[in-house]
Amino acid sequence: MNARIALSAIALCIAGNAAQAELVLVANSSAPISSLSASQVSRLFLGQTDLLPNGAKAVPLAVSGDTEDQFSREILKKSPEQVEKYWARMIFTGKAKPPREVKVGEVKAAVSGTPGAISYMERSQVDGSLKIIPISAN
Amino acid sequence: MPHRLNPAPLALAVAILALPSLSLAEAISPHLEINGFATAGGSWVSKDYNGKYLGDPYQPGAGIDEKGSYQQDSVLGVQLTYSYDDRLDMVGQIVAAGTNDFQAQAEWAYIGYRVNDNLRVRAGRFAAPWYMYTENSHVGQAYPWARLPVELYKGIPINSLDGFDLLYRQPLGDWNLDAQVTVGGAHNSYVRVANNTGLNINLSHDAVNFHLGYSVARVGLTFAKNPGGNSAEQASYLMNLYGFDTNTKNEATSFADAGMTFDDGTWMAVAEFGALRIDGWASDINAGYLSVGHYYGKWLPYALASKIETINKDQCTSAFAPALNNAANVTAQANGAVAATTATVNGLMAIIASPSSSATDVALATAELPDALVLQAQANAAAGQAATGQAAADQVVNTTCDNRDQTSYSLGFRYDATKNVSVKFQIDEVRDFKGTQGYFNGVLPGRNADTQVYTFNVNAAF
Repeated sequence: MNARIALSAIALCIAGNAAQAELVLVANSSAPISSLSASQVSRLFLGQTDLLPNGAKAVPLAVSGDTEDQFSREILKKSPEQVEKYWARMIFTGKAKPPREVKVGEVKAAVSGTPGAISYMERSQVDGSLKIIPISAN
Repeated sequence: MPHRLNPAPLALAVAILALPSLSLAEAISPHLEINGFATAGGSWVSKDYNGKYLGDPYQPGAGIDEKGSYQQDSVLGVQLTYSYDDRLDMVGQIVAAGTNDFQAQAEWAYIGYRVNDNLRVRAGRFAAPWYMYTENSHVGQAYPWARLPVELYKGIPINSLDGFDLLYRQPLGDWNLDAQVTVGGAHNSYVRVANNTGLNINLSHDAVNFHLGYSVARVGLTFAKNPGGNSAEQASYLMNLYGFDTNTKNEATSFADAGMTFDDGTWMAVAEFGALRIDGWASDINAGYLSVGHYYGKWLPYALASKIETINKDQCTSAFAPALNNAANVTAQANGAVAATTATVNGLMAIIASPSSSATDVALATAELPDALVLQAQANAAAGQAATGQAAADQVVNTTCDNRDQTSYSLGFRYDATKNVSVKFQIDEVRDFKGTQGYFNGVLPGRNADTQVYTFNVNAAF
């Protein structure tokens, strides 16, 4: 009985994930990077560095709403609540600032128009004005 | 003080509900960010021993009694960040805390400059990093419990430093190293911290964070000597009367702290231990806590055990011993005067009553009797005052000495209603006062007393 409930719960989760489109990291096409490690991505989006691995200035852009929650879960490997708690700690100690936030429809224009910009969006929405940055395991 | 209705908690609740709609800053200037935080809630104790739990003579709104307090944890803060460019910023934080009757105070005001990706310098007034959560002590949204464990966090009454700090960050493989060097000082109405130099280190990786802190300072305590003032001032007046100066200057002081947090979104565990050492009569303290919780979706039920121990009660009581001896001598002299004047009165009465007394003796004794009775009454009154003074001096040793022992066992939960708003509830069983006042203010709950504290609050950050 319990096993059946657990199984159907897992099935629901899988269905839920499948329904959500795949999120990829995108950068300005002039960005001097071809890939980033998971911990480099975390550092950029959690305000622990302002630089890309080669020393160039990075401008991480967060995306408001559900996309940000999906990014937190899948790429930062944290729940949206954990990420908010992290920012509550960082902002109110004055030790780090969250990335600038853009709306989901503005990502493409913001990233292609900002040197060093790095953000995330659905794979199906990416076109030639942006560069997809694969994330390697650490 | 008469009990009065304070509209502030209601205003706070309204403010919390209005928070998510706030995106005022962008409208004003792209350089300006406005952030804020708020906690509104109430707490009650099962027994208050005619005092206040977490009371503070210098904070008019602090303390919880049996009638409950809506001010102890309620707070509203606004933080303004003006980023001139990528390197230079200015930050101001204004906090109106219920413990301070919601009077707005500039908690921080500093200028920060990023020298390079590793190093940032700040100068002005900024959060003091004594313990792992001190910098967030007003921000309920930043920690799991309904209230920071009081055994450790109530020990130091100062949350900001005036001076400068260096913030250094460095990736070490998959780990992040954050080091902070602080130089500065601070004061409130009775504590002055000077020449503070501190080092704080955080080492974090995914779910794990280790914290180490050490700082040294010179600390002075200044109590006003006002017999009609608050309990600390009365205590100071009384001890001064018996020849003891409670004020201290420039006592060498050190704080050491070690802590760790684990939070992988499923389990949460936090442990922290701090030690305060101060020269002079003021007490040395060891305190720490351990907490474990498990996430069930947006619910985080947790358990917390927390303890404070004064490790050198004798240092303080022996410093006060001469003053207590003086108090005892004053009482003994007063009792002697009572005995002498009573003997005189009794002698005169015996002469008047005796049939063998001559008429002249009776007349003389009758004439002297009114004065003798006045002297006896004066001596009795003086003895009464001396006894009261001595009892108060004994009490002072236990309260002014700041000897605090107590242990809390707590159960509670945090519920994340939205990403920015959480609701918390906590029950504490507070016990093992070991004859000290614990975190009651100016009252002694008794050796075997225990008390339950109930806390409910709503927290928001935006």
